[in-house]
This record gives sequence, structure tokens and C-alpha cells, in this order.
Amino acid sequence: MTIRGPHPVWWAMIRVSARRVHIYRAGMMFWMIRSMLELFLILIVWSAVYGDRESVEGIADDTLLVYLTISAIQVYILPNIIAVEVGERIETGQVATDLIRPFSFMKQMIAIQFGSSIGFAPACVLVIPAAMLVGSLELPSLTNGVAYIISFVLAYMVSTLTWLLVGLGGFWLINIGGLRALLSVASGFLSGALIPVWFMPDALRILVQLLPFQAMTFLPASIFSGQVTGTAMMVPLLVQVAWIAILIGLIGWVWARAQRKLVIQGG
Amino acid sequence: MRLATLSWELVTASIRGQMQYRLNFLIDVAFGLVFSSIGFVFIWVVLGRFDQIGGWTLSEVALLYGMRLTSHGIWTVNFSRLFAIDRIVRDGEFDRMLIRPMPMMLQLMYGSFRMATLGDLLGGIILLGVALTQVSIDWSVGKLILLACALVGGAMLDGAFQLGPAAMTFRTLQSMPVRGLFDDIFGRFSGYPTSIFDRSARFLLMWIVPVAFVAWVPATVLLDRPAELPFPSWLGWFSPLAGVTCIAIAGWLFVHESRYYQSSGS
Repeated sequence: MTIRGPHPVWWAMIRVSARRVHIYRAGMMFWMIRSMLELFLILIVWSAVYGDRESVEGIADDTLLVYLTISAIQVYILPNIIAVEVGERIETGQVATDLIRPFSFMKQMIAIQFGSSIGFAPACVLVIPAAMLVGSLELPSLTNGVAYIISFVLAYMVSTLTWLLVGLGGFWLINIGGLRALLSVASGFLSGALIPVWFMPDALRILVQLLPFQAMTFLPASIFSGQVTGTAMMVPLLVQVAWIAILIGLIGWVWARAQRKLVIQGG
Repeated sequence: MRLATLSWELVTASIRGQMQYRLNFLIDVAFGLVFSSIGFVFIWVVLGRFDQIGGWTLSEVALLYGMRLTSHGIWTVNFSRLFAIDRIVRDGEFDRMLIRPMPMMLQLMYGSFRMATLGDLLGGIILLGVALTQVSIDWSVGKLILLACALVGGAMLDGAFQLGPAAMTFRTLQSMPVRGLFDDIFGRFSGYPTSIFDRSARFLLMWIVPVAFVAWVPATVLLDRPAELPFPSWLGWFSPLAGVTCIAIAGWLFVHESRYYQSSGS
């Protein structure tokens, strides 16, 4: 018998995961303060760099501030817990139990990520006014607003898939803590949240464009800030869709190899 | 002497342990390097494009960043176990530190070793070395001594804002968020000329969380830019004393609060 429609396990896993987020409420508060500090510093540095100039290389100072603020918010709320979940399950051997369940491992992990995002939503509502206080946020035009919402959903998918792929690295590395930390620090850079891709030197820009991180932050933020408008907005949206396709392909390929590589360390 | 050998044994044993996961071990060191240099890469890219920030050139900001990173490295290499203080207190591992024939503070310093901290120190020394060849400093014996003292003083200042908050672990069983916050403030703000901030932020960075004393105050003396300091420039020569004062208070607080330690009993 095949089960059709959303499996009830989906909802159960999402609920449990959403509730679990609240164990770390105090930690989340501090994390938010730290994110706002980072935003504060970046804004000061960029303001000092701009000095009295109103526009540098076609980027107006207002646009840049909105770009940096929305980027900081995105970095804060986009998913990455999925890498920790997958990594821990592989390291502890719990993945064996997960694999026996009559529900695909990938779906379980995505359900956990989705639940964690839902549990996390109240903090996101808090971070927006905080970011407006520290930075500056102007609402985009209607078309840019609609395009941004689409772009954000795509960014959510790119982020989930990228970190899922990182988590699967655990089948080879056993402990992915180092790799995950390395990437999450580098991603602040590679996503364009610290330096918009417009201002990057060529070598860095090429590296950034070869990695999926800019599809999580730079592309949606350039739409939100109004630097990209009209039909030109199709370019970032298509790049995001392409990344989703590439990542799904990569995950399928890695997963096929990973199952043969699995080492259960006692337990 | 015996204590020094003992410390060395503990540190090398810890390193050998981590070498068991070879690839992960390398990633840890790489992580330390990337983590500590990423802030500078940001400065590098921005100033590569825009020449100066608040009148400071790239090589001058590199000097600031190199000083702060070296200071941070000196601190973390010597106190890498403090990072895990929450777990040590919660799981009752602190029991062992109290009964072993080695001073508690020394065990806290060298009881185990995190490879990533070596990345901090390495990155800092390299950056500082390169920066020193690029900036024009009118060297004197006094300035050499100031630089050396400033690096140690910076380490003490940075560390005081880790050790001090860590003291609360004995009562609350958790200090990581607070320590992380201070680590962030020092990591992010100490590598910039404090003069680029507005008045209220500048006041905070000088007198509330004295991040400015890690690198900016001594560097203004080294670079002969006394006009930027909000106090007579001769006082800048004594900036390392800020670290000495703060670490003394933090150390006292930690030892004092450790009396409230309750073992988990396991």
C-alpha cells in the first residue's frame, strides 16, 4: 500500500521540532543582540567609507543601507539547523533508526528544518523592528515587493538544500562541526551580507558566483533594495531556480553514495 | 617548574587526542584561521576599493587588526579550556579540578587545548608582521616596549571579559551567551579605529566595555596620532594597564564565585 497526500508524520515531526526551538529562548535573544551588533558595525564602516558621497559606482547610500539591513535579517532567519541535525544523526548513529522509519530520511530532515523555522518565527518578528532601529528599512515598490517574496521563498529553499548537502558530508567526515562552522562564518561573506557583490573585486566575485550562498542573500536583497528592477529581476530569480535544480541533483548523487558509506559506531 | 611540565603534558596529550580524527583536526585549525581572518578580509576588500576609513589607511587598520588578533590569540591559546566552562561546571568535571594536585586556575588554562586557538595566534602574528613592514612608525625603545606590553595587555583585557562573565557559571550554570556576546564585541570592534564611531558608541567602547584599549589607544601612540585621543596623549603610554586592572578584577571574581560551586554529584 502506498500512502498518498501529506504523510501524518510530516505534521508530527514539524510540531515536535517547532516546540524544541523554545528550549533555547535565552540563547536566541543573545544571538539576536549579536546579529544587531554586527549590523551596527557594518553600517558604521560603510557610512565611514561613503563619507559625504551620496553615491558610489551607481549605488546610492540609502540603497546600500537598505540592502545591508535586509541582508542581515535574511542571514538571521534563513535555515541552517538542518546541517546540525543531519550531522548529529550520522555522528551518533541515530541515522540507523531514521533510515528504518517508513518515511524518507530527506523528508524527515526537511520536516525538522521546517518545524524549527516555524518555532523560530516569533524571533523573526522581533528582529525586523530591531533591524529597523539599528539600520534602515524602506519598503520596496509593489512589483519589487512581489518579486522579493518569490525570491525569498527560493532563498529559503536554496538555504535548506545547501545545508542539507553540508550535513550529508558527515557520511565521510563523521564529525562535520568544523566544516559547518567554517562555512557558516564564510557564508556571511560569500552571501554578500557584508560586502554587496557590486563592490567585490573580480576574483572574489567569481568565487561568490560559483557558490550557492549569494542566492540566499545577495539576490533577494538586491531586489528588495530596488537596485534591480523591472524585467531585470528575472535574472536573479532564474539563478535561484537554477541553484535549486543543481542542489537537488547534487544531493541525489551524494545520497546514493552515502548509503553505501554509512558507518554506525556502535550504539 | 614541575607545574610547567605538567601543563605541557596536558596540552600535548589533548592535541594527540584530537589528532585521532585527522581530517577534522585540519579543518579545526583551518577554521581558526578563517574565523579569525574573515573580519580582516572584510576590511581588506573594503579598503582595497575605498582607500581609507576615518583617515586610517589599509596598512594602519591592518596594524590595529593584527594587534587585536595577536592579543586574542595570546589569550585563547592560554585559556582555551574556559570555552567549555559551562559543561565543566554542569557535569561536575570541576570536582576533578578542585582535588587534583595542581592549582585550579592552571588546570583551567591548560587542562585541554583547542587547536582552533592556534589559528587565532598564527593569523594575528602574520598579519601584525606584515602590517609592521607597511606602516611608518618612528621607532624608539619605548615604542617597542609599548607594543609588547600592549599585546599582553590586550590579551588580558579581552580575557577579563571572558573570565569575569565565566564566574557567573557557578551560580547560573550558564555563561556561554554572555561570554559569546563579549567575544563578539571585542572581536568586531577592537580592530577598528574607535574614532569612526559616533559619540555615544565611542564612549561605550572606551569606558564601559573598554575595547578601544586593546589596539586603538596604543596604536595611536605608536603611529603618533595623539590628536584622536580624548585624553592627554602621554596617558596612552599606560594603556596596557587597563588590561592588568581588568584581569585582576575578573580573576578575583572567578575565584570568589567558585566558592558557590555545587557539584552535580555524578
